Amino acid sequence: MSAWNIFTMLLTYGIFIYAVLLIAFYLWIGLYSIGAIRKYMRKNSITDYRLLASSSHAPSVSILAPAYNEGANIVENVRSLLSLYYSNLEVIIINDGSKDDSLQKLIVAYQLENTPHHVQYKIATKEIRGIYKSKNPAYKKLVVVDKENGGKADALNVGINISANNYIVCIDVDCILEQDALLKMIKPFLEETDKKVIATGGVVRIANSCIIKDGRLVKVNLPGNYWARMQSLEYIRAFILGRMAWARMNGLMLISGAFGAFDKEIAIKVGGYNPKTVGEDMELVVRMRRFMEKSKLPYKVSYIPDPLCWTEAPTNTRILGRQRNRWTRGTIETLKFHRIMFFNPKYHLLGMVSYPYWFFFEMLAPLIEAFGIVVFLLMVIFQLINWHLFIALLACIVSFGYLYSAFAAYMEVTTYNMYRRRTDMMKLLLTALTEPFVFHPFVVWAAIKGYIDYLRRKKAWGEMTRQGLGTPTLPDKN
Amino acid sequence: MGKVLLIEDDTLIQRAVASKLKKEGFEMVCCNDGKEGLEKLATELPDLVLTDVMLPYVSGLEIVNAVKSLTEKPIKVIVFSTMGQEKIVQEAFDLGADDYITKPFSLNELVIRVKKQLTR
Amino acid sequence: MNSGAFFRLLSPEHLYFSAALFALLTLLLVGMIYLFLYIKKRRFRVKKSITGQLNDWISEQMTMEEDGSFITLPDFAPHFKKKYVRQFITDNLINFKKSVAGHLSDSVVRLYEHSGLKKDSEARMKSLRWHLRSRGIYELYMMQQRESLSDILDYTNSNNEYVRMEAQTAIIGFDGFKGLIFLNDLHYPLYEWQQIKLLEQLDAFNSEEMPHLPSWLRSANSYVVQFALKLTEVYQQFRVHGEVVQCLGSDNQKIRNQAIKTLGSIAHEDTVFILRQQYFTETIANQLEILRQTGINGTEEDIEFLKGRLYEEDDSLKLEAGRAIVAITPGHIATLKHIAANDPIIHSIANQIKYELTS
Repeated sequence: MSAWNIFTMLLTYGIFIYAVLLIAFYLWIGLYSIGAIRKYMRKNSITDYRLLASSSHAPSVSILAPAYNEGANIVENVRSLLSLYYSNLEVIIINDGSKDDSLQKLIVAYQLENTPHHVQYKIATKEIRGIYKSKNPAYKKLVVVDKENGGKADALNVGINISANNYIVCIDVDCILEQDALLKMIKPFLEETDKKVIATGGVVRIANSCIIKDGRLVKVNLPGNYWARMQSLEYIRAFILGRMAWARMNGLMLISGAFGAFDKEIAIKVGGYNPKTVGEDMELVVRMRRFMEKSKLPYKVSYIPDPLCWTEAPTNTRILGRQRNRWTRGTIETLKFHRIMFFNPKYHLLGMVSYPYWFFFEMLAPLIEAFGIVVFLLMVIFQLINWHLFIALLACIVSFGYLYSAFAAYMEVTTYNMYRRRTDMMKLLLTALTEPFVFHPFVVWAAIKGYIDYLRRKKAWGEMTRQGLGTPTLPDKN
Repeated sequence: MGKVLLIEDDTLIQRAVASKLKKEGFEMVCCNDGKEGLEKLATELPDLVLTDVMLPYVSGLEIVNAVKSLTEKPIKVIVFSTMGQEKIVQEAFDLGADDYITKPFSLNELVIRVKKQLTR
Repeated sequence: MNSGAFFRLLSPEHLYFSAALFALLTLLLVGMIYLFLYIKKRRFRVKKSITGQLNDWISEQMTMEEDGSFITLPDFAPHFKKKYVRQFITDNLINFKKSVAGHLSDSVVRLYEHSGLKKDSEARMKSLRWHLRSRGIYELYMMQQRESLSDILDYTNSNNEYVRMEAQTAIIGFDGFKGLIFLNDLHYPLYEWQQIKLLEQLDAFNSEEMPHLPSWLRSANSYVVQFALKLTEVYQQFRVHGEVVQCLGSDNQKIRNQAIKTLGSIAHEDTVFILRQQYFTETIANQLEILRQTGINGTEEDIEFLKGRLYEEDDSLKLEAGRAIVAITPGHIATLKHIAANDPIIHSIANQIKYELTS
C-alpha cells in the first residue's frame, strides 16, 4: 500500500473513531444525567430550604461579586443580593477600579463609609484602596471593596482575602439569582459524609428578553435574538445533560464563573484564582481537584440542576465571537497548566477520564472539525469525494445533532421547566434546525481564532520575557 | 379601628390573615412583596404594618427601617418570622420593630398583638 | 484490516437508515414535548381553580366560631379523582399549616383526614419506592397523624437515607426529646443538614433531660457525637462538661470544632484554661474558635495568653485575639494601641477593632 493510501486510511479511521467516541460520550452523558436529575428532584421535593436560612448552625457564607463599570444597574443588583434568603451572609462587592461612578452610586444608595479593616493578603493581589460598610443596620451584610484594576480573578482573590466566612459564592454582579439560590447551593456542603465537598456548581440560564424588574426575574421569555436563543439551547444541553452526568461520576471539571460556591479554606490553600489565565473559573476547579487528589483526601465537586442564576448572553457575533475565543484560550491554558494529569493514573478519574475528555472532545474538537473541513475541500478540489457517502454521513451527523437537542429540550421540559409555552419550545426547536449550518460553524470559527490568538499571545509573551519586560510567574507546578 | 398594611408573599396566608383582621374591624391593604409594600406604605399611610421578615426583593428589615424612618406619622410594625430566627428578629428590633410573632401562629394571637399595638 | 468490510458498514444505505432513525426519534421527542406542555397547561388551570376553592374554604372557616365542630368540606369534584390534584391539595394544606396555628390549623387537619388525602399518604408510606415512602412519612407527620407513629418508627432504621431522615424528623416532630432515642443505635451517618433540621424540630418543645446524652458524646458514630455536642450547646447541658472535654481528643476536626463551641456555652471556671492547652495542637480554624470562646468566657488571667497570640503568623488569629482581649476588658484597647505603636499590623487590627466597638 502506498503512503498516500495509508494516510487516507488512518485519516478516515481516525475521524470515524473520533466521531463514534464523541457520539458514544454524548449518549452516555444524556442517559446518565437522567437518573441523577430525577434523584435530585425527588430528594428535594419536600425539602424546606428556608430552615437553613435562619438557623444559627448554618455555615457562614460570603458572596463575592467583582464589578467593573456596572454603574447602570449596580444599585439594583446589590439590593437583590442583600435580599437573598440567608442570615449568616456577607455580600462583598469588589469594585475593580471602575472608571465610572459605580462606587459613588453605592456609597450614596447604601450610606457607606470608609472603615478601617485589616486585610491579610493571603493571596497576592493588587492594592486595596478602601473598604466600605454601611452606617444603616439594614445593610449590615454589605461590604464594598475599592481596589486597583486587576481583572476578575484578582478581584475575586481580594474578596477571598477579605471574607471572614467558611464558604464563598463567586458570582457575576449582573447575574440575577433566585431567592433560594444560596440555600440550595450550600445544602450539598451540609450533606457531605467522608467525601469533602469542595465546590458546588449551579445552572446558569439565559436572561435575554426575560422581564427583570429591580434586580429580580419576573417573567421568563425565550430570547428574541437569534444568537441568544441558540445559546439558550446550548446552555440547556450543557447544563442539564453534560454537567449533571459529570457531577454524578464526580468528574466535573468546570463550574460556571457566573455562579459557583467554594470551600474558602481550600481555595486559599491552592492559592486562589489564577490571574494569568482567561479561564480562571475552570482553572480553579481543576486546581482544587488536583490538590485534593495529591493530598489523597476523598472529595466531591457537586452540582445543582435547579436553575438559580440568570445572565445576559451576547447578542451579536462580535461579542459572542470574543467570548468563545476567550473560552477556547481559557481551556487551552487550563489544560496546559495541568497537563501532568493527562492519562495519569495517580489522578484517578480526573486524569483518566475527565482530562482526556476535555482535551480530545472540547479543546481539540474545533481543530479536528476545521481539519475535517479542509480535508473535505481538498477532496472536492481533487474530485476524490464520494458525494453519496458524504451526504449520507452529513445527514447522519446532522440528524443525531437534532436528536440530541430534542432530547435536551425534553429534559428541560420534564425537569426544571422554564419555557412553559408551547410556542416558545417550538421556536427553540426550530432554531435548533439552523445550528449545524449557522451557529455551530460560527462557534468553531471563533474557537480557531482563539487558538490563533493563544499562539500569538504566547509568542508576544515570550518576546516580552526575552526583552526582560517581565518574568512570568508560573503557577504552582506540583 | 385602624388601617393595617400586610406584606406577605403566600396567597393563602395573606387571605387568612386579611379575612381575620377584616372581621375584627380593621381596614386591610395587602401586598405580595417588599417593593409593593414600600410603595403602599407611602401612599396609604397605615397605622400598623405586618410584614414577613423574609421577603422577595426587599428584605423585611428594609421595610422596618423604612417604616420607622417615616416622619409623617408614627407607624407600628409587627414582623412575622419562622421559628428559630432569633438573629433576624433581634436585628428587626434594633431597627425599631414593635413586636414579632413566630410562624405557625394562631390568628387569635395575632389579633391580640395587633390590637395591643394600636391601643398604645 | 479489511477496509472493504469497514466501508460496507459505512455505506450510504446504512447511514441514511441511521439518519432516518434519528429523525424519527427526534420527531417523537418533539411530539412528547408538545404533549407534555399541553398537559401541564391544563393542569395549571385546574390547580388555579383548586387554589381559589381552598382560599374560599379558608375564609369560610374563619367566619365559624372556634368551638363549631361542623366542618364543610369543599367540593373539589370532578378533579378530586386525579392523583396530581390530591397531591397538590395536600401540599397546599401542609404549606398553610406551616404558617398558621390554632383553630384554622385544626380545620385543615380535619379536611385532610376526612377527604381521603390521609389515605393517600398512608399508601405512599407503604410504597416500595423510596421517594414515595419519605413523602408519605412527611405528609403524615406534618398533618399530626400520631397513629402512624409506630409505622414510622420502623423506618428510622431504613437503609434508604431519605426515608430514614424523614422518619427521624417525624419522630422528633411528634415526641420531641423522647424521640432522640434513635441516636442510641444509629449506624448510619447523620448529615449536618439533618442535624440542623432536628434541632429546629426540637425548638418547639420544652427542654427536657436527655439521659443518654453522655453515651451519645462517646458514640462510635462521629455524626452522633457531633449532634450530641450541638444539643449540649443549644440546651446548655453543664453536667456533661467532662465528656465534651474528652471530645477535644478526637481525630475528627469537625468534632473538635463543635466541642470548642459547646464548651464555650457550658463553660465553668476551668474551661478556658483547658481550651488554652488545646490551642497549641489545633488547626487554624479551631484556634480561631478557641480565641472566640476565650473572648466570651475569659478573664484577666487569660489576657497574657491572648497577648501572646498577637504575634501569630496568621493575621486572622491576631485579629481574633485582639477582639478577645477587648471583649474581656474594653479598657485593654489601650494595651493594644501600645503594642500597635511598634507593629503596623496590630495597628491596623486595633483600628478595625475600635471601629467594631463603636458601630
